[in-house]
Amino acid sequence: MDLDLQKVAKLARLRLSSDEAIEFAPQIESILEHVRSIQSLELSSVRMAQPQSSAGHLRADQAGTEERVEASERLVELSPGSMNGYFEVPQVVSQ
Amino acid sequence: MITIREIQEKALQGESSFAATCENLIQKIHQRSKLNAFLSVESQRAHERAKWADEQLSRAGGKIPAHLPLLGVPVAIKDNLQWSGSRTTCASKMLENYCSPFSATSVSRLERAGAVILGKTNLDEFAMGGSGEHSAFGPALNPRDETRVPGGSSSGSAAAVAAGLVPVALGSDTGGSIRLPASFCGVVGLKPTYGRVSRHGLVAFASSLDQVGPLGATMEDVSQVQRVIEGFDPLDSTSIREIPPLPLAVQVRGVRIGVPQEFFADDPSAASGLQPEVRLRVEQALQKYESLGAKLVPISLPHVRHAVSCYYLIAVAEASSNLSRFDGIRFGTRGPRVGEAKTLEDFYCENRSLFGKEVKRRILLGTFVLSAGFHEAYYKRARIVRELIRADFEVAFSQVDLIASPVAPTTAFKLGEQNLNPIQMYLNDLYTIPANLAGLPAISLPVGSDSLGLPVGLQLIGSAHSETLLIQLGRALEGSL
Amino acid sequence: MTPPKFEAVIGLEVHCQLSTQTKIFCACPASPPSGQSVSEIEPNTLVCPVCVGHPGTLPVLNERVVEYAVRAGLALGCGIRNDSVVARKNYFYPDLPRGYQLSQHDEPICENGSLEIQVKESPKKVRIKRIHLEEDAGKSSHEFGVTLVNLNRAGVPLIEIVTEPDLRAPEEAGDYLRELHAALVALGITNGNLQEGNFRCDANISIRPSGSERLGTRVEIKNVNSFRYVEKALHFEIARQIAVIESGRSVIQETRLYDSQRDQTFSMRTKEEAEDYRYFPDPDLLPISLDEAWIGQVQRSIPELPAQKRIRWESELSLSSADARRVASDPESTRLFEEAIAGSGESPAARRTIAPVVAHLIVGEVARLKESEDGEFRLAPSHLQELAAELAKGQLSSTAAKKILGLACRTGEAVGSLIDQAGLRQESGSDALLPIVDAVLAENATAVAELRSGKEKVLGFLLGQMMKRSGGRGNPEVLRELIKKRIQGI
Repeated sequence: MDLDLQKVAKLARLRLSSDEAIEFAPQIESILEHVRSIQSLELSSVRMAQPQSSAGHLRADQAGTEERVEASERLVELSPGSMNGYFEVPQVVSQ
Repeated sequence: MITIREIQEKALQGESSFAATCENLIQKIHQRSKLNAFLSVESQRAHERAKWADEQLSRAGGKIPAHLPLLGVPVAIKDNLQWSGSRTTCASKMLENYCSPFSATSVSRLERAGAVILGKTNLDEFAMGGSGEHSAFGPALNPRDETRVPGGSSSGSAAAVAAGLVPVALGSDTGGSIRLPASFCGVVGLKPTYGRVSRHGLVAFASSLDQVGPLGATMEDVSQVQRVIEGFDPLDSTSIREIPPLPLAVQVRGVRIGVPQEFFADDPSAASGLQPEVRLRVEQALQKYESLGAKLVPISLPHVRHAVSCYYLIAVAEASSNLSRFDGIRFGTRGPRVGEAKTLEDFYCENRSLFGKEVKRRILLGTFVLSAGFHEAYYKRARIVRELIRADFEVAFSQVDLIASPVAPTTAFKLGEQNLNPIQMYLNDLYTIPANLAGLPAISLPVGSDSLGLPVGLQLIGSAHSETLLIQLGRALEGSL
Repeated sequence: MTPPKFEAVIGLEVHCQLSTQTKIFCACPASPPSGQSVSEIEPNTLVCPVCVGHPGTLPVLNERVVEYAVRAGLALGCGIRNDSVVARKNYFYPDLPRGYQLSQHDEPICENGSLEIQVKESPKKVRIKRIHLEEDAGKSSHEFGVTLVNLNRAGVPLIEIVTEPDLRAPEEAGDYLRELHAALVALGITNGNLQEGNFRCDANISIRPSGSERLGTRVEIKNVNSFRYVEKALHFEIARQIAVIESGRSVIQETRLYDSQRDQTFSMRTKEEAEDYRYFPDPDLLPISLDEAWIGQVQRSIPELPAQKRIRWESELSLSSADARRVASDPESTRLFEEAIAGSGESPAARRTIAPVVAHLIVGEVARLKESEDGEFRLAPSHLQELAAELAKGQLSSTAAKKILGLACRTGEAVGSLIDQAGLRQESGSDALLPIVDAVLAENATAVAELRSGKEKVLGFLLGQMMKRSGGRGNPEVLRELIKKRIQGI
């Protein structure tokens, strides 16, 4: 099935303990097995419709209200790590 | 169970003010805390609000003002909906102490209509689950039988209504998360047409499937809440601009009810494990409709047998991406060993270790489905199959006015019974998923119980924007049972 | 001269920040209020729950972003897609709040256009593969052993313009960038400020043996923020790649940055493997649906572009190619020029005389004055107009014109009065000058004789005398003519 669970976990930034890896692998495999029925369908003649009848709703280019300004101050307060108004990540990032 | 009318009547008659009612219900919530229906109760705030409601009532000269239809009505909100100032946890350790910086549109609308929000209800973590057991803060229990699950993911909302702690509650439904717990707990639950209720403020699970909807003891109450929360919202691009006007009152006589053969066949692959008593109650309900003059029409939804596969590909794919924002940087809780992280990747992994198992499983699946090499085979195909299912419904609705089915294959199962097998859990959703894939409105209404006294739900699915039809049909049955 | 062994193949990607009021997916201001620069304002003050990626928030697309993107597409001759899709590009980085960037992948809004540049006086078409809209990420800085994230820039609207690998020399790349920059600024969709990073360029370059059709290994040079540096970086990179190949090694596919101090490109620490972005259509935004009527409206709102102006000025107004290019590439210069000419009210023929003079003044003296002036710069198009008119009438010498220009810039007074005040009005009337001519000729019989016998040099001396006699106000051209006539015996 070519499922490389650790590779997928890395992509998703999830750490799998060896127990979890052992538990998840067959579960995910069996789910994939189940959904494989989709692969056998003949789909070449299907035309994709638009998800909604109306076009995407667009917004006028106007700034928001004052309450937005107040809310923005709280957003930094809400973070679990901040420094001088910045969001802080306590590691130096690799370029 | 209690209703909106009762509560408002009591206030109007002077029997019990909104403040007193609020007080009573909050006490009741604490008395029944074992149910674990609520993750947080905001007594102070609710009390002030109820007092305000009493003032409004007296100012209005002893009647409910037209612009405040839910005046004084206590409501519960599923804890994946933002409510400014409240803790919004999504039943996850990730958001254990997260305080909402804004309110969901559906929640604001309730408040603007005069409702009194009592607190936030329990759910499966990030709405991923069908039993209520995947909450990081313990499962909610079924008030009908506390050894059993209330269903999920809107477990707390259904339990709260069923236990008479609130008359109405808001839930969310992605693959059946309002309808299934409604069915297991014996209450009414409505999933509106996709786009009819704003998703702004609903913590996203699967964006193209999620909808906010009401649960309540009666059709009338569910209908009232629905009218308050629905409507175009410029903050949600998928919300529908012009909602077609609701049809006038509908008679049951002459209504054509479609009965999909795929849902009622004895073929185990089509209707896996449909509990005989569930089938019985559903068929009895349909016979009742016949006696009221409705016509039962056999129909076919040929691609519906792929619905679960299709759903579990699309939903997990969208979910895996929607949950990427939970990284502990701008909000949320950081992992316990985050100080030891040596690289950026470690930092992310440590913070995201706070997700529960079911959430992790779905993120992994979703990431895999979207990844290079599998995208074509899985995700793109699933989107095409979704169109086929939508088309099946279109054909069906040219022959019938609504479609009936069970809500779930069984009644409420025991806690821990389905724990180990994800596939089993996923198959519980086989009746409810198709309506989410097609974006159609669907309602779950109680139609009796099994021999153990556990509630059975009937599902009615309508064409887009036929909520009134569903409610009216529901009312007809409600009246006769 | 032997042809070069290797040829360079260059493609460019430009990220251009759009000058809308608000961000692309939320109503936060897209730029700091009251004209402050981005680096001056406090971090995380132009943010809201949407652009910080809080749970439950949804993007809503800014219609002006779509309009600006379409404007760019139309101006660059692209086809506009009636239904384009916003897609999620999934990856993890602290300055990317949602863990995905909203961009476009399979169905960009504009495709298959071109931009013309001049290569050694011949036009060359550079094909534009696509233009798509996307959001900018925030900024992360690294200090005191931590990473600090500022999301003011997160959600600022960008268009990305990608060329086919049609460029063959660093100078072509530089030309393309200058031309593109001028066009986008003239369209009014960006302020194109390079220092603030509103116009960023990535270059993809490979080399191959001359005449070969196959493409060599590509190296990407990221985030060079000046056109000159792009050219220099490319020069260095070409030489580097040739050296690599000639020494028997292969060019490694990688991303490099340019160090302007050392004039070198250097490798970014290579990432372990190519990121899998798992693109899929964003389910929170519906496809962008554009009808022909709306596209037509945008088309009609497009102003004349620099390239078109240049062509028109060269042919109708006799501007030199160099002056035309320089005026057209700067919006302020363009404005001054066009208003000066329009206000002159002269006949088309007269305009042909005035225009080159005005253009020359703008690119020369005006530019110089602008740079050296500390005080207020009060030059108006009317000044240029009047100056040009005076010059055309022969009422002003070119030296005097420069002086008057300087005065006008400082004082803002009308040219006519300035000339009179300074007493610089040139005398061009033959009646007034003839007496002076006759007098000087009469006093300098030797010089006259030399002139008659063909010695042109002495003309300058005679002219100088006449200028002195006229108090510096004699029109040299007229004097020259009169001298000629007298010599011929008229």
